[in-house]
Amino acid sequence: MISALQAQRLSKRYGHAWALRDCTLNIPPGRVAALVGPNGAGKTTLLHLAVGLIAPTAGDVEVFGWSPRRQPTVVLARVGFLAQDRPLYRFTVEEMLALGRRLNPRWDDALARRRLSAVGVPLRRRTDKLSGGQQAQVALALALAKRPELLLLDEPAASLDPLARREFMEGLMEAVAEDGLTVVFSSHVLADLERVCDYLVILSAAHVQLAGDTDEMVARHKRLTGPRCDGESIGRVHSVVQALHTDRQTTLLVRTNGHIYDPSWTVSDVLLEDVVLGYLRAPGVHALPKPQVVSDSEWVP
Amino acid sequence: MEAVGAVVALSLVGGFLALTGLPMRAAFNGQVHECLSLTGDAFRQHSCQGLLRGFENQATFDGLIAYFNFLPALAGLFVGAPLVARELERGTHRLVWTQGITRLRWVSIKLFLLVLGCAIVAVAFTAVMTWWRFPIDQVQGRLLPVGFDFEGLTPTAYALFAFALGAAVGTVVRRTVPAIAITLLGFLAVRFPVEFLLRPNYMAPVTTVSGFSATAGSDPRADGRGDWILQGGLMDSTHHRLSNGELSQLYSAASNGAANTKGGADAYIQAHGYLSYVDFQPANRFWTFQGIEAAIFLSLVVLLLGFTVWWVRARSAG
Repeated sequence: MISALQAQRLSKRYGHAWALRDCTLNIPPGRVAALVGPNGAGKTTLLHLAVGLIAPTAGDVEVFGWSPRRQPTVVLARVGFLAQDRPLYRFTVEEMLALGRRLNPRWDDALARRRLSAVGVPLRRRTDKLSGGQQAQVALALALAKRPELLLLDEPAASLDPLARREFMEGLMEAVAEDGLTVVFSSHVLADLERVCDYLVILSAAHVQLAGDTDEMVARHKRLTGPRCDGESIGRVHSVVQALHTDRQTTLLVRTNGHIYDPSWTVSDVLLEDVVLGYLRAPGVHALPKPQVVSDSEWVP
Repeated sequence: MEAVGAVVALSLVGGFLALTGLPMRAAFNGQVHECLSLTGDAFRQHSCQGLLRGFENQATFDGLIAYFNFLPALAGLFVGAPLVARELERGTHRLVWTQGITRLRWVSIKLFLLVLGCAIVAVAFTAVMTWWRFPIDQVQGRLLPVGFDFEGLTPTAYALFAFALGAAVGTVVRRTVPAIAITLLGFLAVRFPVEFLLRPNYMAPVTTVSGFSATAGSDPRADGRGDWILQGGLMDSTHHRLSNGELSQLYSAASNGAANTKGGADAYIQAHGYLSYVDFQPANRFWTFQGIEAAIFLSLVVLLLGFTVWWVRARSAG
């Protein structure tokens, strides 16, 4: 099966600073993948590479097997992109639709109008007079009316109030349900993740820390609570992501490598949010020895 | 915004030309017009020299028209420079370069349509200027810079050059305001040297030499109306052109010698075999020069447009 988005040792350098380094990932089609990580981790760089706005310094990126820089005609026809801060021209919404019609061979005008009227965006108003939520809806409608197979969104819900954000994510999920398109979006709103995505990529300091199916990710990570210790013995079999110590107690976030037999630990399940926070707090963890590859998810050293 | 500004500027220019052009025609369609068909004694009898001078001084608005040289630059400042720079500045390139058509096509189409638009406006401006200058052209020809820069092919070539330069600069600089400033400097940095250094030498100038005569003035040509005079002066009998130092020596010698010579200093200079010379480009070279100058600027246009397309396509713009 061809990946919707595949990166092979993908790297981008600006001057002396690496914005993205040796990024390898493989997002299967039909997924809703979230790209999380602190600011400056390389999320935007990865999305810009995927849509061909920038060229990689090294490595390769492919969208459904095509290179965005070498085969832009093929890739652009299949990819919808919603840039950060939703850039729009100071046109009326109607004029933005006319622009989309002219710039896209496969343009679904009815779909754009249906979506916009459903969320009550006035078509005659200029985009800079719309609320942030309405602007986001216009940008999303433009991206979806292209009939993309892969939709890339860069912090689509950031800077929206909670209600607008919810409306936006619902609209997005509706489109996913209707068309079965693949979605990759970057976000630092962790609350969205559990509800929305089924695939997760954690970026930190220009590296991919973790990437994989969220269900497996949640199933594989456990919280271990036990009497205070350094956690070294458990680390010989499993990977300790994060260790917290009180005077008497140690709590570990562990990526398990099979069953945990040591009876001194109390093993409990974790939420996706716990996993994400655990990795974000331990940006060095990707340097751990590479565990065996589990089906359909990639653990990147 | 820019479009509105350009329309206002062009309307002002058009209004000015209409308001001054009609009275100019009225002033021209009398004795001035008659003088042009007179020669020799008749010309002198009607004191045509003075009439023509007067008409030129009154009608041509030289000081003001010189600023019209900046008009073609507007295509670069307000159309070319923002073309890509504005997109990059506002982030809208991330919207428009990720639509279904490639950015190569986007930039090619935009450049093509705007080149066409600028050309149409420039041709219209040339037509109005040519109408306005028609009486002046009868008197002083149009090979002089004041005519040459506003008629024929050159205004269009300048405007397209300014546009292409602006587009290229804006693409590289990525900021509209600095791009506008650099475009203006770049435009002048090409436009002036071409006019002052290259244009006088597109073809070897014609030199006319005649015996020195105070009454004929310094111009030895029989009928030089419309010629572009580059320089003139005195030469000795071996056709050595006198430098300024040599000239002042000659003049002091002449005034000293005038005491002993009948007819004064002029007669002294004449008697010693000095000759007048004038280097000029004949009026009938107008279209040749227009072709050469337009070719220079249009080659730059092709280079700059090609560069812009290449840069937009090949460079990263995140």
